[in-house]
Amino acid sequence: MVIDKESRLSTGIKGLDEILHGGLIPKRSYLLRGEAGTGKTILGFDYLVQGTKEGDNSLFLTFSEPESQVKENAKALGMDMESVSFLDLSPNSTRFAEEESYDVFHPSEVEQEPIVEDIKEKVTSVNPDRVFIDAITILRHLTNDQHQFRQQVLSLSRFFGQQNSTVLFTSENSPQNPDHDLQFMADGIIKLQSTDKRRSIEVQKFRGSGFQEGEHSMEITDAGVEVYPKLISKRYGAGFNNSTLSSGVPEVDEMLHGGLERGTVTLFTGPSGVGKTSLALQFAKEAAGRGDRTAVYNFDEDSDLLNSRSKAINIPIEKMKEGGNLLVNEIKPLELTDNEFAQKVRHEVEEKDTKIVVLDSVNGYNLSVRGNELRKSLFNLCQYFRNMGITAIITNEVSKITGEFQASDLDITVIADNVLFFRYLELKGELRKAIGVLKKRVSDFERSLREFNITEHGIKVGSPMKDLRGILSGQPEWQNKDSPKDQATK
Amino acid sequence: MSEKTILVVAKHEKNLELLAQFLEEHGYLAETAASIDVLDKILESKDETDMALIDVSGFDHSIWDRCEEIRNDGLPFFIISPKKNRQAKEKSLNEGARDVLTKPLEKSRLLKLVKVMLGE
Repeated sequence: MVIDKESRLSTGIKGLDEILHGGLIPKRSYLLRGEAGTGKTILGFDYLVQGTKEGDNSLFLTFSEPESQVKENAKALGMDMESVSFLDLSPNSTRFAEEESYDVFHPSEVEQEPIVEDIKEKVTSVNPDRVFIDAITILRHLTNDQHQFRQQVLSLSRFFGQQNSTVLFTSENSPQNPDHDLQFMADGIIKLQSTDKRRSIEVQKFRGSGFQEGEHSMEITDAGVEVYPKLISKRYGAGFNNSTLSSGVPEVDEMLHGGLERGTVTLFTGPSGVGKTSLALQFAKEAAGRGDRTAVYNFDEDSDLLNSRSKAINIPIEKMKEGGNLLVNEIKPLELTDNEFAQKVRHEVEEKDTKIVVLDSVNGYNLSVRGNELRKSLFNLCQYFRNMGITAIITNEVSKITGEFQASDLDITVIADNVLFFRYLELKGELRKAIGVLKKRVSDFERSLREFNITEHGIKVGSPMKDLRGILSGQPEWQNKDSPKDQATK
Repeated sequence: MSEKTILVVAKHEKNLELLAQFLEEHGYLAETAASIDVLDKILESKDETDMALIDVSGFDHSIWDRCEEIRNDGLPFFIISPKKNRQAKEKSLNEGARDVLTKPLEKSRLLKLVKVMLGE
């Protein structure tokens, strides 16, 4: 059975709805698993508040924290729980305070019945569309045995189903108190996890629907839960024509036999200070001239520094920003997880119509972004760029200044469609820069190197250094002794 | 059908209340005693009772004398004992208890036993 998107119930969290392919299927029960502090209750707030926004009746059934405390917590997050109904079954509520201890009957036989009665009474009067139960595992302590607990949960979830309520119930699972039984009974399972590095959310089961598998990043902000779904590159596929992006520097375009194709990923690789970022910005400048927007994600450098550097080489960064054709986004170390970053990029591409994306640099990405599988996430991102027709430029810094040629320290070249390399040459005792194309997947390219210079008028590239030998060693020699120095800089 | 009366003895007030409440819910009259003194008064009055439930926990040895007395009155009774304890069980049976029930009691089982005892 496939449930269409319109009948889905929004969780109030955009990213989670996306993972759930539109939202929860109504009138079913979902298990929200996670240890203490993983954000289950906050997710519950989002779920219930979304209900009241849509005109649904929402009921918060609390077994653990008293109602007043729950409300206070919600208020601290700026959640308006005014229209949410409460049923307080927490140990501090009057029900238990009145009771003395006893041992003649098992607590389950004495307390469970009234609890179930209370729940049924409340549900009948509120008639909730959405119910959040926090935490259902408390019921376990009120039941004789596992079997009885399961019966109880099953009958409750059946009851809620009959009342047309969609239930989200939490469980505090730990190795000591596994919740396999609940997992089995629930129509869907959402698992929350938190380590000191990152929070994640994962759908483990969703009866009657597909979902995006895997661990997605989650964040608890002042406004509740934010979920950043993993990029799954296959799902996109914006049509694009295979036009090329010119650099605006005729020699570079010549080397590339036209320029960089849309929907390709190009690696600019070379040692520090050789001009990778400058050439990337040069592409952005040219694109801006045609009204195309570029997003630069800067992992290494101060934005101010980038500003002044660009100005010095005649790239009007400020003007491009004002014209809406450029975004420079400084990513601070450990600020984002890989999924959060991908979400940011997606927003730029899909909402802001960005055509060129620059990641400066992949080394910075690996250092700054949190995540377990950065290579994979970068690979996904590249695949996404291809599918969306984005021209992506990724810079990569190699540690060697001169010496034997090395395309990249990382195996990133595999990911890229095109590789442009920059290097320093020692020529007659002078340090010079050269640029060359190592690989280009879509078209042919020039095989020789050219001298590369950054001047106050912009980027200057010479004619092919055809008479040089041993360029890749870093100490090339002129093949013809009479070849003058100015051949390279013509 | 006239209501059957069940004598409930327990030192612990909450236990006593819960037992009585449970029996009343099922249509019995419960006569309660939380101390030996009260129990003695009830036994003296020779009121019409059909059976007894005696939770021995918390009472001293004198409870066993009362058990003997109850047996001599021809009143069937169950002993409710805190935990599975062979000694207590033997003692209870020696004192004439029909059976020894271990806490916590299961309501449905208790109801069945009571019904059997009352010949219902």
